[in-house]
Amino acid sequence: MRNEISNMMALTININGETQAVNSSVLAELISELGYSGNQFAIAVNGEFVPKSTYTEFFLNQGDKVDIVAPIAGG
Amino acid sequence: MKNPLKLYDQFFSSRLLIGSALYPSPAVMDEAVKASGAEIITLSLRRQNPAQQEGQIIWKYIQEMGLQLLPNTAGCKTAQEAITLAEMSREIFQTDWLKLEVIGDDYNLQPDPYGLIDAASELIKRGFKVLPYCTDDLVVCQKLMDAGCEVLMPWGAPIGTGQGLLNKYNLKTIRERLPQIPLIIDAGIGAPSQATEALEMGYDAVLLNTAVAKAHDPVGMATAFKLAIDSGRLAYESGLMLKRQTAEPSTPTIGMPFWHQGQ
Repeated sequence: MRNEISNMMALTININGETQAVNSSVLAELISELGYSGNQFAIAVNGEFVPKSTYTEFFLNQGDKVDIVAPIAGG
Repeated sequence: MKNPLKLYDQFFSSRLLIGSALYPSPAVMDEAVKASGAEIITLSLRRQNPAQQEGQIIWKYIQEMGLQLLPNTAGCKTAQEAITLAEMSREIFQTDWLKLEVIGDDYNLQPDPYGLIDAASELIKRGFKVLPYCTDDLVVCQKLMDAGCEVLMPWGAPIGTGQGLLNKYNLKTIRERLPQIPLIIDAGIGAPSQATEALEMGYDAVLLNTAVAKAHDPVGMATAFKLAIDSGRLAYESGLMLKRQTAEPSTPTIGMPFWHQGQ
């Protein structure tokens, strides 16, 4: 797992291709901050899958690239 | 049907796998899928923010169908991308089944055989039931089997083209050289007759989307494909006659009146 960052300053991260400043440094908190709820999404950070069971202990770093995906139609 | 389709220890009576994309509406998708008789449906994952509802509506319809889900990795261009998306799919959809796509060329969406084999090897180690979308290349198919794939899905033609079975020599060769593994024609099927042909050749099933979804009447076309695929399979199981070069009368010649009278 990632190193905990000691100060809780706002992070600038990339979420689904858009750079934005967020207040949460823990993934579980970020999800709430962004308005996601339920189980119908999955997350990768910097191209690596992050299981739901680890959201509460997954710390984000400056510049992280977060992908949040949900079901769509597909062929 | 005499023999059900067996894929990764599961049995299916339908030999049509259907996609959930490109329909005029979610309701039409729902009706067309039901008309097709398909028991396996493909779907995908994309970036979405909490305000987007479109995917949620489709997903709700699909959940209520109760079919075997076959999430794809459409759009992935490297093994690593496909592996990550596969893990995300497994968590959301709660299935090990995966239509593995690793695309090597944007123009014809041709699978990258190297990335595909790498991704398949890793995903099978991680417990996925991989159904790889591959080209009609015998050696690539053999390598995918070596990696542990128990089903192969060679293309008939590039995705969305409706060109049918472009390289029948290759497809027949794969069928003849790999007689045991289930083979599914994935992509390129445009007409029910092309699906029939695939089943008559001994292919075990067909996966399609655009031909039904983009038809003037998707529900009618789904029914047409169902009938065509059942017909092709029944013909295969019944044993097709061999072609011959010269004519042979089907009506007996013995007892023919006027025999030689005009000569």
